[in-house]
Amino acid sequence: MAENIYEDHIIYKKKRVMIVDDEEDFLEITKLNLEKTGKYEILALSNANEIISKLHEFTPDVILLDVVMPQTDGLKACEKLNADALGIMTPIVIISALTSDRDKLKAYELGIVDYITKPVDKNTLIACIEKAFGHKRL
Amino acid sequence: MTTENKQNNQVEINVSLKELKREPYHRLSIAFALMTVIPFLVFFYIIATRLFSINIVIGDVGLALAITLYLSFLGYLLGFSIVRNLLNRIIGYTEKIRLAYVQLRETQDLLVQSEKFKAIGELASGIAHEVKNPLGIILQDVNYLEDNSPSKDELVHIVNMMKKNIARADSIINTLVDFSKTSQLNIEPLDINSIIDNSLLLIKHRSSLENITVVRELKGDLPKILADAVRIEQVFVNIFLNAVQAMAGGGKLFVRTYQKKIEEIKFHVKPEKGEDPFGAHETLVVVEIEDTGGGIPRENLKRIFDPFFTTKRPKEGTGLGLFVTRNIIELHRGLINIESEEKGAKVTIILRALGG
Repeated sequence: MAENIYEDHIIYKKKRVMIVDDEEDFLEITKLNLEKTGKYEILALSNANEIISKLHEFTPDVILLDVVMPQTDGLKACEKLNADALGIMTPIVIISALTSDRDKLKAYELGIVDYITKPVDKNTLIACIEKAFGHKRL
Repeated sequence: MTTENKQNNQVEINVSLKELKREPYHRLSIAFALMTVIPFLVFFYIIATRLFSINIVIGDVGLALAITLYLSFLGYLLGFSIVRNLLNRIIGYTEKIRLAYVQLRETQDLLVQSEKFKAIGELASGIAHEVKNPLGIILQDVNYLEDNSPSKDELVHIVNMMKKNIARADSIINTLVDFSKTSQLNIEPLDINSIIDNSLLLIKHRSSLENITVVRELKGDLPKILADAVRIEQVFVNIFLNAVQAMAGGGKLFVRTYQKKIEEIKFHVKPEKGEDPFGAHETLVVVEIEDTGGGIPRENLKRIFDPFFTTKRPKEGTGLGLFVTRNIIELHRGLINIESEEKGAKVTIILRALGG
């Protein structure tokens, strides 16, 4: 009986995705698209200044992170996450309009699990998120 | 065209001028010496033979005078041919200088173009980023409309979001097209104070809305500058608007102009490659624009002229304003510098005075 309850929890628990992007329209429509699938619970942040405190409040299963943002950019946010016990365990997917190999390399060196470039189709985005769930950073 | 080629052109002109200075005067002095010294020597010879009763070997005084006249005539003929030769040479040098000047102008135009191309290169990656962001939003909007049946209100909201982001991408492309226009600057002698007054007029509405007091400290009788009125006005409007945005809620905007000799100016920022764009003793017109806003953090000050660097929200600015501003000032062979301490920011623009 107890085993069944545990299985139900696994099946129906929505996965938590934190999206950090300064493009408010992107945050809004991506949140809508992901929530409509019924599989995800979304926390949308328009800056990365409070990423650590929000990480501990929301405990996401994956973080979608933009790179070019005012004040704290995505790479600085990665460094902050890497210095945090929970942050270093959470898979990070970069979602950025920067497309050069140099930009990608910098991000991969910080331990991200995937790098996708904008514009990205919803189904591709979902596939990347699903792939990232199974990924353990440590 | 490289700087090295430009330097070669300068060297060529310098050499030509040097030759022009030296050679004709040298030939001229020989011609005059011949014309005066030869008749004088013959005359002296005749007088000497008369005074000291030495027999004239050639003949009598009449013959000697005839020889004198003949030699003088030869001297004048020689002088004439030298002068004619000299005139031809001067015409040749003038043509050479004219050609060198044309070449120099072409080189300058090429340099201006190559500066523009360099700037466009800098822009390219930024353009890609700035256009891909609205495209990313539009694609997500399309995905949403494909997979869902939105209510009428929702549909209007999504479509408006798409339109807004299409307009945003369009404005970025337009800025690039404007910037890359190959038309030359429309240079004319301008009064910098009039340009500043025109620009202040354009932002008057915004500044009064934000309760900003403009303090004009414009010095009269400034020498004119050689500039493109539209572009320079664009520079001032950009800077004034930035200052107004930095003082949302109120403040003071100081605008000063004055003239300086080059040796009196302390440059806070040297232009790239360590080249000083101004010559010694040149007269310069300086414009200072100072605001009482929140100031610019040091880390942002380093990147302030980078394309697409902005601390504003996406809809408030493209991050191209100061990049374009710096490029316009550099096309006028001037300097722009931004300083900021804990509070307020000061923009200094230095331009060449006409005939300075």
